[in-house]
Amino acid sequence: MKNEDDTVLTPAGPRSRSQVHAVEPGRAVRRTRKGTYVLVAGTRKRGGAELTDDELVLTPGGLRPRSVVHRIEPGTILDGRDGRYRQLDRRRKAVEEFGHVPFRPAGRPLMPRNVFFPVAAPLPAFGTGWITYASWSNTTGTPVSRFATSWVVPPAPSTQSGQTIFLFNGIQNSTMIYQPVLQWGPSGAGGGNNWSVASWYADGQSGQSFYSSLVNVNAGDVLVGVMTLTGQSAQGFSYNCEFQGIANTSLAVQNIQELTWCIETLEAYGITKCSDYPNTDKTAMAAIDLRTGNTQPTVVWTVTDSVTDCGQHTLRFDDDSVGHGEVDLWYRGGPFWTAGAGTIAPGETQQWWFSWGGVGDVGPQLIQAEPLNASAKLTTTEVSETVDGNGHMTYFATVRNDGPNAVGFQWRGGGR
Amino acid sequence: MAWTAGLGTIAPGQTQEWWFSWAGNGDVGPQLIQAEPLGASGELATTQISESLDANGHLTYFATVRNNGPSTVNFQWRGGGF
Repeated sequence: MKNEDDTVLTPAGPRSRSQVHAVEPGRAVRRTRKGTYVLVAGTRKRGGAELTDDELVLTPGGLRPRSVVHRIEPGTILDGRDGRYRQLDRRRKAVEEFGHVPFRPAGRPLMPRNVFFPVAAPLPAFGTGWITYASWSNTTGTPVSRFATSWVVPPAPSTQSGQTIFLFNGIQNSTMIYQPVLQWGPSGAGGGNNWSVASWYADGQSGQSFYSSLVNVNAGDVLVGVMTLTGQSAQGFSYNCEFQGIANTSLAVQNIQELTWCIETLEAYGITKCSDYPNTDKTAMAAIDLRTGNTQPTVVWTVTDSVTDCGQHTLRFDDDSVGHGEVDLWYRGGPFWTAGAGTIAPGETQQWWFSWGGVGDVGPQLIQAEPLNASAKLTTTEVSETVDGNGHMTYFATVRNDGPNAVGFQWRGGGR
Repeated sequence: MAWTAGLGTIAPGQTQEWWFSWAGNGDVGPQLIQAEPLGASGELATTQISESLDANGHLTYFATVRNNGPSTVNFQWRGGGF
């Protein structure tokens, strides 16, 4: 006998049976203005497929009907001429039609505002979708010709809750996103409790999604996700996306709209606890190589930390050095600590102490004062350690205000 | 992440202050910053590290190096955070 409290498996992970609903043929799931979901009568067609009799599968754009999620065979090309998508074989003959993809007005990136995940059905306690990311919009007037990023496949999550994690660099426009994706957990391309990679080209909410073969990789593997502009004509732009050196991960597209918004993203679904993230602090999206034409544009990444329930955040490094630096996607809070809240006058010196529990010894500590108001320059002049008669270690740091104004400040520090 | 930056020359007894700026709001957390001599007979002391916040909310780091050695030496900066 079925119990409503049973746990059943869904594409978004284990769920209570009471939260899993069958959608009968001829009915549709519709999102209300309040963000809840209701079943309604009627069918809609998209790409020649009825959405109502289709199960939802997870993609890097959220849940989609399986009927609009398509594998593009190795050696074939996805062609988007005239806004209709078709798969072309090596002789450029159409072997499959996917129908019309409506263009959205230009000016706003597709993601993350179009990530689709039904909030009223399976509702994880933790945030979903684009968790934290860095973005840069190409306004140079010259199309992005190459966008490469290298990163290391992180350790597996220490807990398995049916979660899916996506890590990728990508380029998007108002309608589609193009991305070489590292994946943990299930998606519409397959996968499970292992790391795998595939290239994706995906529409927004409930839209068409295309992916290459899904290939397993291992923790510690070094990935290089590369998107390259391969052509430009009156019919549109042509690109290739692949994981360098990993066979069958190439996904070529041609005659599509220009892709302009570059991103480095951590995306997750079905997270139920912080240990569902990879068992490491961060993934460094490194050796970023971004080119417009034959030049390297000035790139300043903008960070968005959308979900911070585990301390997730993004840090940038060396944007303005050779290449376009590194974007670190953190799964949890940084290892440096913050403490204190003080005010210091111009020319004043203050010594503060810092004490931890137990014997107080937390190893060598880098400690610096961070100004919290403008026009401040705070110099940390000295860091010292003392041990009292009970064997307890206490740390001290001295700050001097070399700026012209009184400012608020806090301390930040950390060790190894 | 460890980094290297700059390429300078410093005479015996001389003190130089350098600044280090990252993009965005410039905040890359607490940073260990040290001058590394690139030639023999160099003894470079990094005497202080500062953080400065401007009116645009941008954080800039400063470090001061003093040459305690007997010779003029070339140097670079090395640093890192968490």
